Amino acid sequence: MYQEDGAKKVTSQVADLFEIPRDIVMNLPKLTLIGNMLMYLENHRGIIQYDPELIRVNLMRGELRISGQNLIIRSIISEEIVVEGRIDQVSFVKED
Amino acid sequence: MLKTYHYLIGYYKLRIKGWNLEKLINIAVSRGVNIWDVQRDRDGLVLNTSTYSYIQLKEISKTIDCLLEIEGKYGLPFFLARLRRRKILLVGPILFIIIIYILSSFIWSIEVNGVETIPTAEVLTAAKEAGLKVGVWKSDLELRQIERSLMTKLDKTAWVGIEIKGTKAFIKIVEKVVIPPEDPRPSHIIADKDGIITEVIVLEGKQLVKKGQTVKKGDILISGLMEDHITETSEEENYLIPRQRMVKAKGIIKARVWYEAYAESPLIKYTEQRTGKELKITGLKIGDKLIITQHKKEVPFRYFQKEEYVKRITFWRNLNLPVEAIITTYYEVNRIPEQIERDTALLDAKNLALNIVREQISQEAKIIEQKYTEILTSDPNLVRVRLLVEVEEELGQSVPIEEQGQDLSY
Repeated sequence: MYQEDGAKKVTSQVADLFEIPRDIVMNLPKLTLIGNMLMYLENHRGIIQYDPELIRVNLMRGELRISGQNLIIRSIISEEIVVEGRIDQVSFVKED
Repeated sequence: MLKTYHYLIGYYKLRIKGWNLEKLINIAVSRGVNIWDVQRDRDGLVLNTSTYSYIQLKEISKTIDCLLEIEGKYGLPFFLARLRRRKILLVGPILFIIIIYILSSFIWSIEVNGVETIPTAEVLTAAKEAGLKVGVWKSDLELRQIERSLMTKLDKTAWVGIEIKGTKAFIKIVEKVVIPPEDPRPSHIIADKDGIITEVIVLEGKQLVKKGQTVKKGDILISGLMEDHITETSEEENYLIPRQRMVKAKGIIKARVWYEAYAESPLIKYTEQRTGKELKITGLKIGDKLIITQHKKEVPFRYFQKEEYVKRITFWRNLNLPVEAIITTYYEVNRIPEQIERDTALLDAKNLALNIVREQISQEAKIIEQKYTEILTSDPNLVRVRLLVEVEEELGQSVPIEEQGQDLSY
């Protein structure tokens, strides 16, 4: 989704060249899933919607939808969200 | 780690009602308000926040029209406050500490170390008489005094040390090395083996053998019967009267003695190598009865090594449950035959024979010569050796004169 952008493409290639993790250079979200019960999401831009069945998180570009059952925000700070519960689906939604 | 910190600081569980609850979360996060365990239900949000962030959160809730409710207060500060109100609760832990303290100031077990000839029970009885027994108050013990009284009660001890570690008393005993008292009765020195005398030094008694003389077992080497000539003065003249006197003969007599030993060594040796296959049989032993839980009629290997591992359940100190698990493992092995050269096998057999001899002779003995001859055996895979060793060693044993007759009847 970021590849369309010319400047982003260059940044990505530079990051590749120097072997720097892209999430740092390009401000991309970093997701860590532990099974389907725990998810760490770094680099978020706030919560759009929070329900036990669906959490929508704002990203730099677009949003992330986490759907499941009994979702709890275990902790939330400005850099990271920890979501616990039965995670069924994680999807990126493009911003129009 | 964070949880412990929150617990120490104290935190609130809040219920928030309102419309734009996501906005509340976002503003709180951007302002650095500490919130965690956010849950959503029909009525609104339930979340935890530390006590110092509460005021901030309240301000935010006012700006976006939310209702804040404290559902619960948790953590150490609140716990202590509750405790202050309910003093009886404190009695439990204090009582617990006191009981632990009291129980730990008794002696609960006694261990005896270092005894070889004195039975442990005897030491324990002596300790009991001295005041050291199970159930005694630790601070009442005068350790030095008990040590001293143990020393006097057990006359075979050279040193007694008592040490208390926790609720256990360790009695360490060093036993005296008792040198058997020398028999004061007049005695002969008698040969205890056949041999050729090489050295005679007589300290007391009458020398009966010379260097180079062959003696047999039982021969008197130094006699305790001395013939003295005592000058007796009578009225007329001095007489020399032979008189027999009995003494304890002393001296060193060395002789050359021969020893003979037989030993055999195989020409084919098998080395065992594990193949990797194994069979485990678990058994359960309750008391004296053995119950095999997994049963197989026989070990399916031709050659195997057996290892037994016994597992006991210890639940407190030395108290064992009378239940043991015995795990027997059978490892399959391949036996690899190895041909050994005749000379090597002969040497092996000779060394075996030499070890047999070494066990018989005293440590001071000097081996002068050794000769071995092969003896033919019916088994073609076996070599047999007869070893003849010539040794110079001390000969002679003190035998009281009155017992001599009986002792040497064999």
